[in-house]
Amino acid sequence: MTGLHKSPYHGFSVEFAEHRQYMPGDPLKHVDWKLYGKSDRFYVKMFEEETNLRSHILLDVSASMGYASPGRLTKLQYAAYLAASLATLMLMQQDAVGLLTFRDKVERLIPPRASRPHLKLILGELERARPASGTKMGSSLEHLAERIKRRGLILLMSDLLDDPDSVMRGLKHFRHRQHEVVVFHILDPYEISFPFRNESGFIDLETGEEITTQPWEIAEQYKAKFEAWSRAYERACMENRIEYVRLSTETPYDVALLRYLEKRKRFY
Amino acid sequence: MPFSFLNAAFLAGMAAAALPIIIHLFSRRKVAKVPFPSLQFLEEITRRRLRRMRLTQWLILALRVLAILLLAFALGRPALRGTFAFGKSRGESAVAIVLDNSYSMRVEGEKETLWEKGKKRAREVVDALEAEDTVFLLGVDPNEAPAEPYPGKVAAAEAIRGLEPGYSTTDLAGAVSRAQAALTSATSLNKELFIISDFQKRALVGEGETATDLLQDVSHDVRVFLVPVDEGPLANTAIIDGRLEGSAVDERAYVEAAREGGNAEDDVAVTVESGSEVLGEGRLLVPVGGRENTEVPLSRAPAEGEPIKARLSRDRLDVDDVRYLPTLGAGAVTTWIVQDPARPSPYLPLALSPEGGPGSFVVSRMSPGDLITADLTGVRLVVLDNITGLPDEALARLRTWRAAGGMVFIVLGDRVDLRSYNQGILPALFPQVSLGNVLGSDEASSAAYTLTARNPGHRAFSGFGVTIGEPITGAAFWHIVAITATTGVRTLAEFGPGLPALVQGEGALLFASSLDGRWNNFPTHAAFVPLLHQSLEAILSEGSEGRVLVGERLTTLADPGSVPTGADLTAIGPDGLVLPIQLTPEARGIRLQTPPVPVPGFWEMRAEDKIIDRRVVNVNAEIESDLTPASRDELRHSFPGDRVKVVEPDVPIGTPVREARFGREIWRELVLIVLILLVTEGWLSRRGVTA
Repeated sequence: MTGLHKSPYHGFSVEFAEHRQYMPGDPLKHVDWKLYGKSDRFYVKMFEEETNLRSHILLDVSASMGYASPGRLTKLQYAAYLAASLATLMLMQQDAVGLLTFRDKVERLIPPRASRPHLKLILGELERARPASGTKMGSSLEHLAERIKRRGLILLMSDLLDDPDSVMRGLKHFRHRQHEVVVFHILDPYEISFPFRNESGFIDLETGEEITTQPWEIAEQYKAKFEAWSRAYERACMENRIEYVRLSTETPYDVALLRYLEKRKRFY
Repeated sequence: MPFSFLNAAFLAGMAAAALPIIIHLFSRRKVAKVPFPSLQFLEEITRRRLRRMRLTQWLILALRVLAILLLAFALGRPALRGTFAFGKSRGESAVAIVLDNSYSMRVEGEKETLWEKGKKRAREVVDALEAEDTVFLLGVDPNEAPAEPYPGKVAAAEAIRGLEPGYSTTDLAGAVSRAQAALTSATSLNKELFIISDFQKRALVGEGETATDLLQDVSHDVRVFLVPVDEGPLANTAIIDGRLEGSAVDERAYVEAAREGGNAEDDVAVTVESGSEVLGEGRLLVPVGGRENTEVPLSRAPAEGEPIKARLSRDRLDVDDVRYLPTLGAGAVTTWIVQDPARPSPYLPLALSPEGGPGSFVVSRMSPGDLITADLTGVRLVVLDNITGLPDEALARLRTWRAAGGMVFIVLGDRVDLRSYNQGILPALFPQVSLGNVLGSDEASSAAYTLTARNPGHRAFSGFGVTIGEPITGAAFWHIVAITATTGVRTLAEFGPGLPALVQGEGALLFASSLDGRWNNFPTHAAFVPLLHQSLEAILSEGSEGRVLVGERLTTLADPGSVPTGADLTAIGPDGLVLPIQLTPEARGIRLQTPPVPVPGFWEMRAEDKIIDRRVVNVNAEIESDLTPASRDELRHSFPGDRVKVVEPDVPIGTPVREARFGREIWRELVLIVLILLVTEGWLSRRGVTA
């Protein structure tokens, strides 16, 4: 898999990758004169590009991420698959990728590495991730922002079900430390459309609290509130130059990745 | 505020009010549990709304429950009574009129009888009714059937016009009970009970009794009007008992009369009649509040079935001045005296039927062997006079005859085989008695036993004037048989403590010594004949020709062979009155029984033309002939409560009745409220209130 963007970070490269036929405009310093002597053709040497990009995938493993409407993946499963895909993609681009899972505190931290075996470690951790307990995303993000000192890319995958102000405070903290931040807002279609009809007792996955109500009656109000909440996040992210990507678990991953990569492409 | 339900049974529907609650609870349990990532949005939306929803939900639930309760309440037809209540009743009235039809209402007043007065008052009640009201007419006869409603005042007035007084006693408690049953079946707003009666004191409180609340079982929503129709205290003399007595040479009628009320002590004439023929006359001086008897000598012995009646001189109530007397069929009580042919005794045949004169008994002497073949048809009394035993065939025939109502007089003596009696004769003919040892001494001079009265009030001792334990005769008894009697047997006389001499069972009499002069000298003493006659008359009169009072049933046990198969069985009374007879097979024969007899007089039980039995039926003068009315206080004791109103004779009935009928039913208003509640409930539900 090859990325569609160039790394925005310029480091130095030492490892030869392949040869390419010289094209007019190519710097002459990259012409392989030895090969010219053997083949009488101009080739330029291509090197494995090594950047300083360090990516951190922040995965919310709180209980609310365990929700799945009938026939669909849980939000955590969806986020894990997405994280795996991105990690693979980034490692193939020589970016260092790390993984942090958190609930009300950081659960697991895999520091960023750019090596291939590191991918296995990340995938294994993603596979083991299970939803549980509540979220205190704001404090966790601020804590992480303090820990991740080196500037890099922060990929947050969460349903953002926490106090928006505290969440945004945490994200701003990342921005303050010059991190590039992308928020993948993972949602289940039922959360968005609230299609329930019969009188039901809704149980909060995180707190266990129950509210019995007639869903059909409050559906419109719920959807309006939900959209406002989601839009507030989007607006706040935009204001803080944070990439906000809302993903439904019914959206295919490739579509989600493409949308992300396309967005990144526009940046770089 | 008087409040009642006219259809109280529908109040059970109030239980349906539990349905919404049950459904509510049930539906709450059925709510599906849905896990959801976060309730933060639901909480925001529903927090305030939820409070309102819950409030509204309880409101809806309350509305539903209230609607059902009120609907059941409305179906119960609640009614408010009183003059406050918005005008005249829109509900119907159910009125039970108890019109005293006992024979005391036949008393002749100055202008009319009490009965006519009562009927007028009953018509007044009916006139005060509306066209749609329901009327129940009831009498005070204890045997009266449950009351049926008359649909409207016209039909009721017509029925009252056709009513006649009866001959029964006054059963006010029964009448009130039947009226209550009738009113319970009615669903009208107003329920009223009118009791129109002479309210005899004796009908309310028996002698030595205290007044009981006759309305204790009457619903409290029933208003009671007591309408006395008396003529004030009246003197009345009535025959309370009468019978034919005497021996063949001394026929007489025993008449006992009682006098109640009034002040003067007048003597009254007593006449014994057979149709228009006067058989005897006498006079009675009956004290006020007391009773007296006399024996009227008869000019001749009445024949079997002859309609003999005793009559007092006429007073204001003539029904109880006549007493129909049961005839024993003097000269026609066919009697067989069974004796040992080798040693016949003359005493019994002579005592029962003196030769050459009219007698109460037609006597035939028989030997035990004769009973095997002789025709027992028409024989009413068989006397076993000191016989050793009976052949089996004869005993079998006697058993069948006895089962059909035949009567036996068993006289013991020296020839009696005690074992044979205990194992054969007594089990078949008088099973309540068994024989023990022969007691006494052979020495006639050392008489050990004396015949004393054990039951001096018994008819057998009529005229003897003895008390318990007092000798009846100076006769000496030197041999007796110790006998043991079980329940149902009365000891009339005895030879000493625990030594019964004369015992009486149903249709059976046993003398524990001889009547042939061998064990005693009693037959030669003066007490012998009257005691013999009166004892036999007692069992004869208490048997098939026992006294019957109006309201009782005629009943007799007949030999199956004496009732022709398929014959039309009827009881025919005075003026050709006919009652049906019901047949019931019993172990001892066929029981013939009529419905309660409504009229006094001479009655015949017939199988088509064949007379099976004759009876006389008299009024129960012991209670009903005391015309003393109850005082107002006594009435209040028997009919207590504010709902009871005494309507005095000079007050028109319509006035208090109409005053009491103001009120209204409120079910319409309740149904309207129910509709409003349901509309409100529907509106709230459509607003989308949720649980």
